[in-house]
Amino acid sequence: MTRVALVRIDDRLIHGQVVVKWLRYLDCSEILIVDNELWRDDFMHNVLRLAAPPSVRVQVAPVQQAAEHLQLLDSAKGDDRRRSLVLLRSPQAALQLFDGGFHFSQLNVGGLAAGPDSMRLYKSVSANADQITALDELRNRGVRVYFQTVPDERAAEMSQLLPAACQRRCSLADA
Amino acid sequence: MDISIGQAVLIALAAYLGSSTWFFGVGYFTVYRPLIGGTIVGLLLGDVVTGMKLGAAINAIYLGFISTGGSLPSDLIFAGYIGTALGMAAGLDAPTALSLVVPLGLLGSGIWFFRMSADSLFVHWADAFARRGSTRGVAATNVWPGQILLLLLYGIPAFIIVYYGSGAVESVMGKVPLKLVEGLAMVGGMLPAIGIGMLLNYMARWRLVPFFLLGFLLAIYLQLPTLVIALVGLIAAVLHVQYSGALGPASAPDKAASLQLQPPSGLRLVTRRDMLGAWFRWLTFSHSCYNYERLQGLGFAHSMTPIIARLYKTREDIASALQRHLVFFNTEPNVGAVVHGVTVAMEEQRASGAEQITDDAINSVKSGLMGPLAGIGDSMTQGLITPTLLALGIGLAQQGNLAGPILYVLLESAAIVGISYFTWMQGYRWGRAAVERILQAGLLQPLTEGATVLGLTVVGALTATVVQLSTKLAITVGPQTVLLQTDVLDKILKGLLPLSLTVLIWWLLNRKKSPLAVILVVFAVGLTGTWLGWLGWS
Repeated sequence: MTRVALVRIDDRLIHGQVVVKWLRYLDCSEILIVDNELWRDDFMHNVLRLAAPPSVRVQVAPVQQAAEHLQLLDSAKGDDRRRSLVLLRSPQAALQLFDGGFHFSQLNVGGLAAGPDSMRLYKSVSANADQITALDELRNRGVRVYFQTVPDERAAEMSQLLPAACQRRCSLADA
Repeated sequence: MDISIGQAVLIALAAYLGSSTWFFGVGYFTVYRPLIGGTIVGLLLGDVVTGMKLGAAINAIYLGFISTGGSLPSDLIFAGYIGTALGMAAGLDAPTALSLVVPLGLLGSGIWFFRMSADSLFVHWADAFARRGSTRGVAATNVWPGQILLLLLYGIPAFIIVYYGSGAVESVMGKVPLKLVEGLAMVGGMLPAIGIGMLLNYMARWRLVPFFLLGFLLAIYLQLPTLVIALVGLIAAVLHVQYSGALGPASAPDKAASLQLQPPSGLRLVTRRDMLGAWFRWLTFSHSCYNYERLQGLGFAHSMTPIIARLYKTREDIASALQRHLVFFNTEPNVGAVVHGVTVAMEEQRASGAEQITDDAINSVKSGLMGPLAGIGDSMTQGLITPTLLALGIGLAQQGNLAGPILYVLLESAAIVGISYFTWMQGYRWGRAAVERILQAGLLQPLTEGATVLGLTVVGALTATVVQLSTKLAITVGPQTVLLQTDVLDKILKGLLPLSLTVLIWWLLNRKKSPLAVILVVFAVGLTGTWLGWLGWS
């Protein structure tokens, strides 16, 4: 039986922070990547599988299927032997996952690359208006959204960070 | 010892160089480390051996130091360079100095955060150069502003702390009660257990723990030289890999994957000189302007400048190629260099007219591969090669042997440069199939397994020499006094207390206690234990 140890948005998916820090810290033996595009990409599928440590199983699933699968796991009671780390590339996908039926209570935002009209929220997390809206929607649904790149640093709550970020964006718009 | 203005300036400069980009990509793996920093400071202060030994002891605390994606738990420049200088100037012994170094390392981590935030600004200057199609402008923006900022950020505090701080440390240490000085020395002896515990927490598997004990026992009972223990570890590693079944294909390549194992076709427009030039730029300047907004994005664009100059002739083409590569990028720079090779191959195909190679195609290969390769790369370079060689170098240095830092720099540099060159060229030659070739060759797993065995053996030996803990407790039974340390513990197992402390800290970290909390506990236990007379050297 699987238990989800962490739901994380990180557009680099499986990388140093995840392999070296989170997997060890949470003692996960499975990574579930929820992504509609990667699911169709055999090459990346293979690379991601090879990139994880040998003891860690990597699965890639489209959002809807993952939501159903995880919802099922969530409601099942059993021993928690296998711990799973859920990775997503965007806040929108996280919102879809939630609305698809997997009601996670916390969402870790670890990495989002800066785009042309995004602003930096926290360390290497940047987001544009659509992404921020999706995160806000998740918070409206009662999800605790927090920023944290690696387990050995302190988490920053979105509820505390975002007011400041909003002001920055507004003042940017004024200028 | 007094530090002259000239010496303070040189130490400040060395502190900057230790964190800079000028050592061909191996700087972070060599001069950044306290083992090397301490040796350099020792050289500048006229006593190499003392500096080296102090640097080695400091480095033991940071043996489990791994920085990923620009997150930095402690600053090794502050700990290594400034810590060694203060310790030597104030004439502190190694354990006492160590207890001052930890706060210094934490103080310095703020500088790193500031630097990565400020560097985000310079990337926009590079954007402007890219729009004008100026490869030189992009290159210069990567090299200079970030480095000048770094010189100020490290140089000024380093100078101030070293020049004005050493006298202060000396006079403060002269005034505090002797018990407290003894307590700090006790804490300093315990602190390396945290570095080793962190490394074990990351590196050790339960089934490989016997090799850690092997190294520990060889060092504590036979007092074998570090190099000999390393050779024993190497032999153990080879035997283990041969007889444990770790050798052999890690996973049978499936058909879909092996079909792709063909090098990209098409003209080869890029010369070997271009390739070497691009690789060298990446190796040297990948983190020159490291920033939170795009991490190594500017470094990537800079590395592509010789390729872009070769492939594209019009200003518009050059501008769009530069802008294409100025986007967010981050990987482990050495194993991840395969991405650059693949990118060069794709740019080459694009320039020779392949229309399917769009901006999106190049971007998705880069952004798809950079993460997975960083995961493998960080585990290999930062998680395995570096701590293993460091443990060896620290062990040698502690015995007063200059071969410690020298051997470390040579072996580590050879490994880093070798990996970087190999992956870069493989990427170019095979295109993205190179990634599968490298990962599926079945070498990665036995190499990792073997290196872990070697690493644990050497780290076990290091535990025996750097972690120090001893009790002064005595039990009086009638006329007889039994000393707990010499009469009981040493008779059971020499080094039982340091070993138990290390394993306890490992266990605490494994139970998700934060390293900072563990450090505070070590300070509390060491100081009160000494104060009450429980801990100490009888």
